[in-house]
Amino acid sequence: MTQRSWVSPGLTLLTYLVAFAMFFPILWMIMTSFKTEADAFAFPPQVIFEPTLDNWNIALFDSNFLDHLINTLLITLGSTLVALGLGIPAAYALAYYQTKRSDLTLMWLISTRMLPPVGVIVPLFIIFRDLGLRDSHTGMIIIYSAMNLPLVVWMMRSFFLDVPYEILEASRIDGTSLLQEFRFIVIPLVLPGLFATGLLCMIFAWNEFFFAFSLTVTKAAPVSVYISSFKTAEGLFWAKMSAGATAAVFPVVIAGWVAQRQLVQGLTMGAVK
Amino acid sequence: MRSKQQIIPYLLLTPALVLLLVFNLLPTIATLVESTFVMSLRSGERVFAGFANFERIFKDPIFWKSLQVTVVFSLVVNPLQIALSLGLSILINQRLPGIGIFRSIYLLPVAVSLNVTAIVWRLLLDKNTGMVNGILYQLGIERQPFLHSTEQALWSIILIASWIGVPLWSLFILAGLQNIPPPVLEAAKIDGANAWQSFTKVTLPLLRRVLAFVLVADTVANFLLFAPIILTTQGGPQLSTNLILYETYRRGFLYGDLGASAAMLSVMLLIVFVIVGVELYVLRGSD
Repeated sequence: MTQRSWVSPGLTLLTYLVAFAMFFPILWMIMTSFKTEADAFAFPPQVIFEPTLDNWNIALFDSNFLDHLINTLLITLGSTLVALGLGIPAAYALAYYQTKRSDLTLMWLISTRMLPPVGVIVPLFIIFRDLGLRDSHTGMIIIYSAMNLPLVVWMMRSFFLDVPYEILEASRIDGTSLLQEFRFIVIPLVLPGLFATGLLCMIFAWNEFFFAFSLTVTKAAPVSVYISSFKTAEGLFWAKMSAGATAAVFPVVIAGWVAQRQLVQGLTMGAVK
Repeated sequence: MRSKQQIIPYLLLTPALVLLLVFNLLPTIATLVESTFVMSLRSGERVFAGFANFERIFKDPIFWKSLQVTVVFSLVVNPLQIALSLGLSILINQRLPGIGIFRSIYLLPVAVSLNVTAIVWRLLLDKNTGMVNGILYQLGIERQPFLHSTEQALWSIILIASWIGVPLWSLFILAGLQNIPPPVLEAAKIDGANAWQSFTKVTLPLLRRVLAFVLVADTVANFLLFAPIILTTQGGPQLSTNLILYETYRRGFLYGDLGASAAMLSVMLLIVFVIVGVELYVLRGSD
């Protein structure tokens, strides 16, 4: 209540206006997905129109949308699990066995995130071809794991550093093994951070575009690649593309809604240190 | 026992390092090596060429034009995004009725795939039937070409990049804001500080570390902006949105000149490391 007393009505109004302005582009896409192609092309643009489900029918069921959705789910979950599975032990090592070299290793890990995918795509393409990974789920899981790994190591390391050393010392004197220490003491303490890290990995993998665009054709192509394909010789199908895009966004929006509090909480734990 | 202890960290690190070695370091080195090779026109083979590719791009006006566009873009977009992110994070940090809904939707631009973003903005900014032109038309203003004009395209890209970037960076600043213990702000209030004073004298200094991180990460992200370009303007019209990373892509993939593309990429990576180094040095120096 004391908090609210100094909030002016002007600021409140501004907050709502900003929210609406940021949401409007998405809202417009959702509205377009319920228009006929002719209505979508009308000028001036129509705010009131007769809604139709045709685009949704075509985008979702008269197409391979569901196959691509399954690809996206497999790749997103698979790569998040791999990135966490490899990243957490590495972060643990970097947090608790600190040497001069571990700092250098961390620097290198983080610097790999600064490299643009465009810069590595040609050699990567050749590696993928030689290993038979092109257009495969395994290949996409590997590349997204590599993409998210530095983030996992960096975030988890800072969460581990926040665990008070006395707790670990006490348990070591009591003779707990490394695995027990990890499983029963460290993990419960960093759980919100772990959750936030996994969620960020999933969002990044779900939305990644360039690797998917370059390294998949049809078999493993995720939704992000598929929705750009609503183009034909006659031009763009705005309404159908909007329906496909809205459907692709939907799971992420739900995930974000469920998890926004944990995400902020997790980041507050110390990711920005 | 002692040697076993020393092995553990290496065992924990190795799988992660191997993955990055094969799928990140190796391709990067391959690209850097590629920058010293040219494709021979006579035999069609790759020939070692030393710095020939670098000499070639340094004499190339398109490369310089692209760097110039990138510098203009960076000088506008980074301060803009950081200021707006700070503002947005303060708005989200309020306790207002319905703030939960706001917090859920303000992250949407981050959560949405980049090619959905491109679809959304091409719908809005379309020169013939876009919603923004619809609004202008109702206000009696002529329709604007936006992404199709050399004067407006870069500004449209700045708009799109900020719609994605501002919510993302504000999330980090929000985390920083929530890390400030409430008693600190209450103490400032009791001491008679007004809202502006407590913001500039208490909140901002406490946000320094977060802001430093956001500044570095934002600079790099914008310097390496790529997806919005390939999905909307493809560097055009007349190279007005031909940011440096898109130029390396154009050169390597559309024109097949992998040597020049790799050379540009090497120059770019050098620039990124210098920028980050300088930013980190300056920020550390004032600690």
